[in-house]
Amino acid sequence: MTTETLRRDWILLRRDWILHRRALLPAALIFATFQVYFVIVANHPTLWLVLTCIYMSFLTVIPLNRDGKFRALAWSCTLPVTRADLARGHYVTAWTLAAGLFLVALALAAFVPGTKLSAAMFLNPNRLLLAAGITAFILALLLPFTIRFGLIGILLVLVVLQIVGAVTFVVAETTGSMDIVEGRVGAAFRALADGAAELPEILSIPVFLLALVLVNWASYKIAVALFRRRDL
Amino acid sequence: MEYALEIESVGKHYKGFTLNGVSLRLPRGYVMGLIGPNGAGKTTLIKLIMNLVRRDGGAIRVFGLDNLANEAAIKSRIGFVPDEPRFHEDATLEVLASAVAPFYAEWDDRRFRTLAGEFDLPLGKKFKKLSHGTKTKFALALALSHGAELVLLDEPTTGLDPVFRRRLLDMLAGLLQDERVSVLFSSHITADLERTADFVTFLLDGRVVFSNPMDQLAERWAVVKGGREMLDADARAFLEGVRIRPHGFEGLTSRIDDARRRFGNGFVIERASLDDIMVLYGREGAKHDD
Repeated sequence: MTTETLRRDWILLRRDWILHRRALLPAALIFATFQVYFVIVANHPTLWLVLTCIYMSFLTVIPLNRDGKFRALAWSCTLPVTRADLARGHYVTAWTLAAGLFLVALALAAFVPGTKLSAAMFLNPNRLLLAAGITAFILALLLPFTIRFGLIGILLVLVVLQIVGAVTFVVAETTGSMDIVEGRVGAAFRALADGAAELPEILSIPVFLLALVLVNWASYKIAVALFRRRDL
Repeated sequence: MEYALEIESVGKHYKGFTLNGVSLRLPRGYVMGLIGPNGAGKTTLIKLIMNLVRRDGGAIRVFGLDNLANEAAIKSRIGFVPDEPRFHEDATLEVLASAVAPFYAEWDDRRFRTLAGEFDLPLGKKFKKLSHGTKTKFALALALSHGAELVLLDEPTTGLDPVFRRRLLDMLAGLLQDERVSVLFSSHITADLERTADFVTFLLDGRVVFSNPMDQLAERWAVVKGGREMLDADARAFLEGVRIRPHGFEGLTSRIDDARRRFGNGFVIERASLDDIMVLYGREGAKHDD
């Protein structure tokens, strides 16, 4: 990584902060308010961790969605940076936001009166790695798609998922195989969750970290390839 | 000769529109006007130079460098004003400028503030509150504040009041005092180009009709005027475009000497303006011209 690359990442991060702080600060405030409630009612640390990571991961695409909303992406591409720089800038911003929000959530878990959680619960390597894993996985899926298709694309995916769910439900109901479908889908989700939770234990920490880096690197490469094909 | 911009056989295909084999060269220190009716491909060509859209073929070199391989380095030397400036609408001009400045090593904040003053830009106002003309002025102030050596302006005079339009053109002429600076300027207001451009490129339906020095246009193009009864098939063969009026016709020719010999008495042959060329070229004298 060259000094020039780091300089570009920094000015892109700075640019995102300058242009999007008016939206990010209220979103962070709502996140923190929800966390005050959530750390009190949550009695299972892993469940808290998973849902917090999902919530904060979706907040990290706020800058990208605002670029799309104002149709300012073309302007970004006229700045003296490449599309690869811009895509990488979005990853840097997303990870910085995720890290910041996670620290806020940890602080609230530690200090909110009445919480059954504590920061110490999450300072063990396995839970930190699980948090990093969930965040990396969601960002790796979310960012390339948002960079290429914007907010509309995300909405489209959600609509398609709803349709797939509805069709599955109708087919299962009409063929009388609802119990089988429920059982299989439930089993798949449980296996996925257990697998994710046990992954840091199964793999050694360096291998797990390397896997996270590789997932993000592959996601970034896909994002760049998609972004380069986007006409603005 | 050193060129600020070289475009060779560049193409871009959209559904319903194709920019086809476009070539042009802009020498350093000159202004080139890009003319053509709406939908001719002017904005697409400028977007191709900025790599906002992907080209399907050909080559674009800026200062001798490929515009894709050296994208960041080239863009730091380009000042770009789009036809419809779009920035983050809830940010003030001051905030937008502070977000842009660090990208340019040559950013000159004093120059930006001087231009903002000259253009009456309300720096504390949000972008969404500005008129189209003021948005263009802001984009222009940004484009001229980092020592750009190539200024790309896409329809910059659209939406500007006549007083500022004249000031903008004077400013472009002033830019050229610095012999490093070149300007590519698209417009369908041909009077603006006649006042400032050294070269003119005419785009029509996605292809270049001509790309010439401005002073060659007078030598090359003429308008022939005559009575409707004189417009026979033989006469049409000399014309690149014709408009039929109730009392006669106007035709465009690039064969001035042949036309003088052919048409002779009864016809008027006069120098073609850019407007004449743009309006008449390719026109076939259909009934709706009557």
